[in-house]
Amino acid sequence: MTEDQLKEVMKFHLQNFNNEGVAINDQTIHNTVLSDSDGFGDSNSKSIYRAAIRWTIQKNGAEDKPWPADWFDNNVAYLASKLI
Amino acid sequence: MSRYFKYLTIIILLYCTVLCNAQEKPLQISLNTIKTELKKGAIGYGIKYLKTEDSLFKVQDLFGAKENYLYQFTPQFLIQSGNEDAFSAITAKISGIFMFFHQTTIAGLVTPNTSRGFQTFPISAGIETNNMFNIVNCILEAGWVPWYQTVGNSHTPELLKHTKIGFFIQGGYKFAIDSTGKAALGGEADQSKEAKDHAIFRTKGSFGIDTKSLVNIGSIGIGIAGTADGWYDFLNSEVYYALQGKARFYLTKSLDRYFEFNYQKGSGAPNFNKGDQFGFGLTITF
Repeated sequence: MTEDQLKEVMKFHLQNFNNEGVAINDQTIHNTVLSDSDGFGDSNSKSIYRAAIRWTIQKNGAEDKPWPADWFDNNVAYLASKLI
Repeated sequence: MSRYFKYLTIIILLYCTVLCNAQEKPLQISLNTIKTELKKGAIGYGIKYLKTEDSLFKVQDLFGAKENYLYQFTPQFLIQSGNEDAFSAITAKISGIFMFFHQTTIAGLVTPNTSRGFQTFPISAGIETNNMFNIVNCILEAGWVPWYQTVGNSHTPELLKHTKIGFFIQGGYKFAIDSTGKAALGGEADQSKEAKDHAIFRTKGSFGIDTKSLVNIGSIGIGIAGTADGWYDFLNSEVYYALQGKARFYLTKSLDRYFEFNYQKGSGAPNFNKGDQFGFGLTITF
């Protein structure tokens, strides 16, 4: 798995939670699209996005590294660089 | 008892503050002026504290990736309280989801297909109590939350994508731990039919809407939000409900700071108080 591939997957999932019409690219800040209050309990876009990315990493044979504490306030390129 | 509660609240706040250093905005604090059930002016506050296990225990969330589903669990800590007779509730729990989905391939990688609807089943285990600590409910909850809001789901009208629904089963036990005999008043009063030192078994349905910033006037975004929760108490054949409506005025583009007017009818669990309160508040996410 390459960093570019992971960024494409991240942008795919962000676009699917993008009800506010935010521009989705490598510079998109996660907190402008995702929320922890748009569902009930852990069934929210922030939690689901994180779970979907971790599932992708594990199922494609890459190492499931710990997420940086500040990922939600940073962009796609930043998070991908920390997970690959 | 209230003095002990204040001390405990301070300790919890300090604990949360220490733990939230260098974390991903895990702490949200709201402060409101409200009119309560006894029509007194009061101060209400809410604390929403989320922490993933990797920051608490230096390991990642409890997580499993299977063929067409996954599971993920995270601790949560919530407080809604205030002075006078404001509604009060404290919840601490481990919660998580099972998520069932179809797969797709993006950039050569297999991934959950979030461009179409999928199903989530939240599960939580924990305690709920009021700020007098005279009752403690130990609750196990399982639910179904269909995720139909995804942008790629063309079968869902746009307005419905600002809504959410969930159905839950809740079971547990209500412990009576008060030894003072002091009666709670107004919005603090326990008005549920659930007997102390007896089992709890309810079903719950929830509906919510949040338009976010619906229109902009200058640099301020305006939107509405509301929730409706209903419970059916199987053991006492009783129905409870809680309604909340808010008009929000967002101060930032990231929507993490806003003023709001709010009205709430019914406190919800654990007190199921039938009173109402309304007010004006400020919420800031740190």
